[in-house]
Amino acid sequence: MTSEVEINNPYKNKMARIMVVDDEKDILRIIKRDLEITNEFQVEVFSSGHDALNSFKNHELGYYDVIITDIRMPRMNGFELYRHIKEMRPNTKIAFITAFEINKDEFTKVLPSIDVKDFIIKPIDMNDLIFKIKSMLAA
Amino acid sequence: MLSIVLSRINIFLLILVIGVGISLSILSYHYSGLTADQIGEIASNDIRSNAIIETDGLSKTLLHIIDPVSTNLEILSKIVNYSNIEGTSIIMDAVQNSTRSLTEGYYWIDENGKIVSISNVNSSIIASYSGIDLSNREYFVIPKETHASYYSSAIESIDKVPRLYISFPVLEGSNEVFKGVIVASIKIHELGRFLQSELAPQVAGNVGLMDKNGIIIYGSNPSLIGKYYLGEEFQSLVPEEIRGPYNSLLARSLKGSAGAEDLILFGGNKTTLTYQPVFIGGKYLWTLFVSSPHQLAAEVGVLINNQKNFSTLMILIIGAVALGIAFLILSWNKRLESAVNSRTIELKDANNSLLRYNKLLESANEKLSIHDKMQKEFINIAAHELRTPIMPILGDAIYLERQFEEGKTEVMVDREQVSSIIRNAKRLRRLASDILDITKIESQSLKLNKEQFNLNDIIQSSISDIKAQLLSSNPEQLENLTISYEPKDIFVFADKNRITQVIFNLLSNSVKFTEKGSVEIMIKSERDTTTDTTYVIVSIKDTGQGIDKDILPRLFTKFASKSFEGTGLGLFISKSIINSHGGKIWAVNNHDSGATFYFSIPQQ
Repeated sequence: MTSEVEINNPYKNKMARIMVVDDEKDILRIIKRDLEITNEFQVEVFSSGHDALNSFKNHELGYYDVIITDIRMPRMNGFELYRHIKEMRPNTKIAFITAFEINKDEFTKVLPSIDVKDFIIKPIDMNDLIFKIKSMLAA
Repeated sequence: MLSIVLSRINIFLLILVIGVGISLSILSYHYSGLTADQIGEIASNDIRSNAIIETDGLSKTLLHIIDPVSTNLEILSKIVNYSNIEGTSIIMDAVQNSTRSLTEGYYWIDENGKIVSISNVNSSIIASYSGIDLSNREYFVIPKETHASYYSSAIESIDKVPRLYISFPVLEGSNEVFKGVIVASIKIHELGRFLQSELAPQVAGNVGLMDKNGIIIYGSNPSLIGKYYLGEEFQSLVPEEIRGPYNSLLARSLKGSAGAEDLILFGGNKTTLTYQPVFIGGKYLWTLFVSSPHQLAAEVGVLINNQKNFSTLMILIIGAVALGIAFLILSWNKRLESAVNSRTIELKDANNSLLRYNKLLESANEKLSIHDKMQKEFINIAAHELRTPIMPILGDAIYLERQFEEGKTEVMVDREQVSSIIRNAKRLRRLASDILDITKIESQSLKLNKEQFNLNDIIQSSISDIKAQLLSSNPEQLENLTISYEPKDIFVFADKNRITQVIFNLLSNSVKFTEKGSVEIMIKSERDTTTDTTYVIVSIKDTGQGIDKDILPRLFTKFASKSFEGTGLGLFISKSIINSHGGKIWAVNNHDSGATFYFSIPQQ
C-alpha cells in the first residue's frame, strides 16, 4: 500500500506541508515530532483555530497540502475552522482528530453539512495518522 | 318522550309518518267512496232496470185481468134481452162468478138510468132499487153519448169505497139505438191488492195507478184515491224537497209514454219511479206506477260506507301504530344515542387519561432522554478528557521506546517530556477523582467527614497550590495576575477536604478566566436571624471575562462550562458538596468586569 501511495503521490519529490491545529500543546508537540521524524512531512502547528485560519489566509493556494484539526477547541472549534477554509478553498483536504466518543455515522447525523471523510480518534496511533495523510495526499 | 322529537330530523320523520298516514287515509277514503258510488250506481241501475221490467210485466197483468171484464161487458152488451131479463140475469151471474176476484158485480141499466138487473142479486131486491135513477152517472152518460165503452176513474160511492167502473153501451139494431148500459164495478182496493201481490218482492216497492187525467186510481195511501195529483191532499204528502221533480215526472208520465226516473229524497235515499201507460181497447187510459226505493243500493252504500270507515279506521290505526313504532324507534335511537354518547364520553375520558398518561410518559421520556443526553455528554466529555492526556504520555513513551529499539541502552529525555508526562498524568488523576465524585453524588453516597478547622488555612494553601500550578503551566499569567486575600481566622465544622476542593475549584476557575487582572478572596461570618444560624460566606471575585449569559442559569449543572480545559464537572461537584453541608452556592457577574462566586455554609 505504501509503495502504491508513493508511486501515485505527485508530491513525492517534495515534502508535504501539514497544518496541525489543537489546543493541547503536548499533543501538537508529539504530532509535529513524530511526523517530521519521517522526513516526509513539514509540519506547522497552531494551538487555536484563529491562528490557523490566519496562517491559511496568509499563504497561497496549495501551501498546505493537508490540514488536520482537533474538533473541541476554545473560541473557534474545528468545525468552524473547516467551514471557513472550505468557503475560501473548497478543495482543501481537511481531516478531523477528536477524543470524543463518537463514530462517523453519529458525526454525520449531528452535522450533516460537514462531509467527514477523514476522521481520526485520539489517542492517535502515529502509523495510522501517517497512512491517513498519505492517502489524502494521493486522493 | 316529547324530548325525543325535539331534534329537527326527528320532527321531520314524525311529520313524514303522519303525512303518509293521513294521505293514505284520505286516498283510501276517496277510493272507497268512488267504489261505493260505483257499486251504488250499479245497484241503482239494477234496481232501475228491474223496476222497468216489473212495471212492464205488471201493466200486462193489469191488462190481462181487465181484459176479461171488458170482454164480458162487450158480450153482455150485445146479448142483453129486455124480453128475457131472467135469462140475461143468469148469464150476468155466471159472468160475475168468472171475474169475482176483481169485480164486485155487473149492472144492467136501461136507457132511462134504471137498474134492470144486478149479478147475483135476486129480482125482488132489484125491484127495491126501482126508484134509483142512475141516468146522471158518468158510466151511463158517456156511453150513451159516445156509443163507446167507458172506463171511469176512481169514484167514491155512497159507502166510501172507491170503485172503478167500466161500462159498455147496449145498442140495438143497425141504427144503434141506445138501450142502456152494462156496467162492471171494480173495487179499487182489490185491484191494488192484486197488483201489489203481483209485484216481485225483490222490488220492495209500491204500486200506483193514475188515470190519464191525473186522478189517482190506486195508491198505497187509500185516502188519496180519487184525488187529483196536483190537488192539495196529494201535494201535502209529497216531501217538499222532491215536489218539483216529482210533479214534473208525473206530468211527463201522463203523456202516455213509459219511463223510469230516479228521485232523491231528503237524506240521500234514492227511489226509482217507473211508469208505464196502460192501453185498454187500444186507448190510453191509465198509467201504472211502481216506486222502487234503492234499499239495496242504500244498504250496499251503508256497507260500503262501513267498509270505507273501516278501512279508513284501519289505516288510521296502522298510521297510529306506525307512529308508535316511529316513536319507539326514535326513543330507541335516543337511548342508543345517549348510550353512544355516554360511551363516547367514557372513551373520551379514557382517551384523556391515556393522553395524560402519555404526557406523563412523554415527560418521563423527556427526562429520560435528557438524562440519556447528559449521560452521553458525560461519557463524551469523559472520553475526551481521558483520551486527551493519554496521547502525549503514550506519544513520548513510544518515542523513547523506539530509541531503545535502535540498540541504544540509554536515551536522552528532555525536561519537557517528563513535565508533559507528569502534567497529563495529573490531569488523568484529577479526572478520575471528578468522575468518582460524580458517581458518588449521583448514587447519593457522598459522605462528609466533618471536623473543626480554620478556613483561613485551606484558603491559604489553595492559593499556594494555584500559584504553583500556574508557575509550571503558565508563568506569564502569574506575572499578570494578583491573587489577594486578607487572612482571617474563621473556624467551621465541615468536611475539610471537600471544602478545600470547592475553594480550589472556584479559585482555579477564576484564574482560568482571568488572563490578566486580579482575583480577590474574602471570608466573613454572618448570622441569619430567621433561622438563628451563623453562616460562613466565602466570595471569590475576579476581573476576568465574566460568565456567559447563556451559561449563567445552568452554571452549576454538569458540563455547563464553556471552558475547553476542564471537565465541566467542577461547579456541579462544588454545588453538591455545599448543598450537602446545608449551604448555598451562587455566582453573579460584576458590574465592571468579571464574576464573583459565593458560597455559604453553616459555621457549626
